Amino acid sequence: MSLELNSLARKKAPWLSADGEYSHAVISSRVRLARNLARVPYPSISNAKQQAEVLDLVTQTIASVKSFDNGGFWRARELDSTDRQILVERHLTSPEFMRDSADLGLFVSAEEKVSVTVNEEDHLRIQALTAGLSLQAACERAQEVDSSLDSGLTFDFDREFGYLTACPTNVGTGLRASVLVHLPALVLTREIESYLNRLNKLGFVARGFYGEGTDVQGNLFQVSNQTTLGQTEMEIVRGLENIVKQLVDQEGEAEKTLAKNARIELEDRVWRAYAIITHARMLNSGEMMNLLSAVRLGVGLKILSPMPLPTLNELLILTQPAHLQKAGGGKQSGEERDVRRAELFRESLNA
Amino acid sequence: MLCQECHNAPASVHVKKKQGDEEISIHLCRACAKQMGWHSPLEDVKFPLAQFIASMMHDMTLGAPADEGIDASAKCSECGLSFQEFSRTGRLGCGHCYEAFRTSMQELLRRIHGSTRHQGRRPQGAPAPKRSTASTSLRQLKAELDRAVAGEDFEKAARLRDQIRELKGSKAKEEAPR
Repeated sequence: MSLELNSLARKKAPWLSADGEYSHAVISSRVRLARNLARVPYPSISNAKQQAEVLDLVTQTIASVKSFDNGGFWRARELDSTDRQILVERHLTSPEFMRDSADLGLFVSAEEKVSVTVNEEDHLRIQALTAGLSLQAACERAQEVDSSLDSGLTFDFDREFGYLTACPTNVGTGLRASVLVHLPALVLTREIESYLNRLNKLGFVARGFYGEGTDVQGNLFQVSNQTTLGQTEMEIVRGLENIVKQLVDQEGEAEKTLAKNARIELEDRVWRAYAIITHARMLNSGEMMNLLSAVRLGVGLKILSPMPLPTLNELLILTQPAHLQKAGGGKQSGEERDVRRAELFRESLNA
Repeated sequence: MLCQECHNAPASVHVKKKQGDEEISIHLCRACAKQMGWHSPLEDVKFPLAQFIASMMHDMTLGAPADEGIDASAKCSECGLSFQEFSRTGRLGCGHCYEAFRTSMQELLRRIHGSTRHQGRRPQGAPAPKRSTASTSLRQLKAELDRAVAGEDFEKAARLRDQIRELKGSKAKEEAPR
């Protein structure tokens, strides 16, 4: 294992590269598979010895999985909160990694394309992250890791219910697919609520930037499947892909309507956001997310001159609190971070 | 900054509102904002598992013969979790819990997922899935058809419609008196 946390925090994550389909609106696709070892209690009730054993077993098995060659491994309790947060901000694991609920471990492949969280709600959470709308590729990648791990571990499986999980909402395939999608015009035109309600009726759900229980920031929605049982993995993934395509098409329509009926207000909003984000001396994270959203919309509608999408995507992560802290080398106050965040934007966007 | 409404909690929701020609800003705490109808578009769309379980227990206990209703005191023989505890937390203790509460879990999974039968991948060497009866597959296909139509996936809907017709035909044969 050779991936270092300090270098990780400065790296560009490949899932932010905007080289997938629908990258103008879709930042990334993610597939995670929940798996548990047979005859071991779930992490919420298992003891320290059982948790350490699960971690050992996974460590031994993963050593022979090729995609994790030269990857990284971290045990949550050996990291301080900034380091843990780096891993959460990069979407390599869930916010659960910040809590000391169990003996949590995280394996990450060298290119950050796949990761395995151990002793979260389930014994294993296998995750694959890809750029743009590319759920099928993400699904195949996660399944490859699943197959390799399956040859060394005995996953708990029921003939009727499928893969068993700590929460019944994950049972069956154990698959949660999600897409991070930017829908500013649907928010501006207030159409978003009716679309989110429709999603719900179809068995999908929208959440915030960092998943369950987190707020929507910068008009970024994480859309995912609600049901995991009764359909095959590919059916789930294709269903979500279709829904997201429809959402992105609706977003496009709403953008056209805005550009036609409220052109000057829209331009004003975009230019103001651009002016602030390229000149401000202090930016807090909430403000930054909203400004970045308006700039992205402005680039998409050609109100602003072209800017590379990967840069806009990477700023989303590099300007998160723990990333700024790490880059600044040491503890920073909230104010210092706001200053550093504004600097980063001026450096990145002022040509 | 304190909430303008209750002057008690810190303001965390900031709303801009048109009043005549003027735009005014309102700063509220989360509770007051919700009461006044300002809320995040995500707040209404949740997936309340505890509520699911509670309503299921209510339905299954009401009007069910005593031996078929949910036995809330049932315990998993492996980890000791009781069904009552599960209905409070929504989390199971171990894989055996699914066996210990199988009847209740079937009903719960049907309500959550619209199905109780896994269709996807299996671990190496896992036993082949049980053959489903014509009527359970029919129910599943119909649910899938509804989803496909709602999702405007008409190609899939057409395929499902044909499958349903075919299955209905074979079911009629199965049930015909010999």
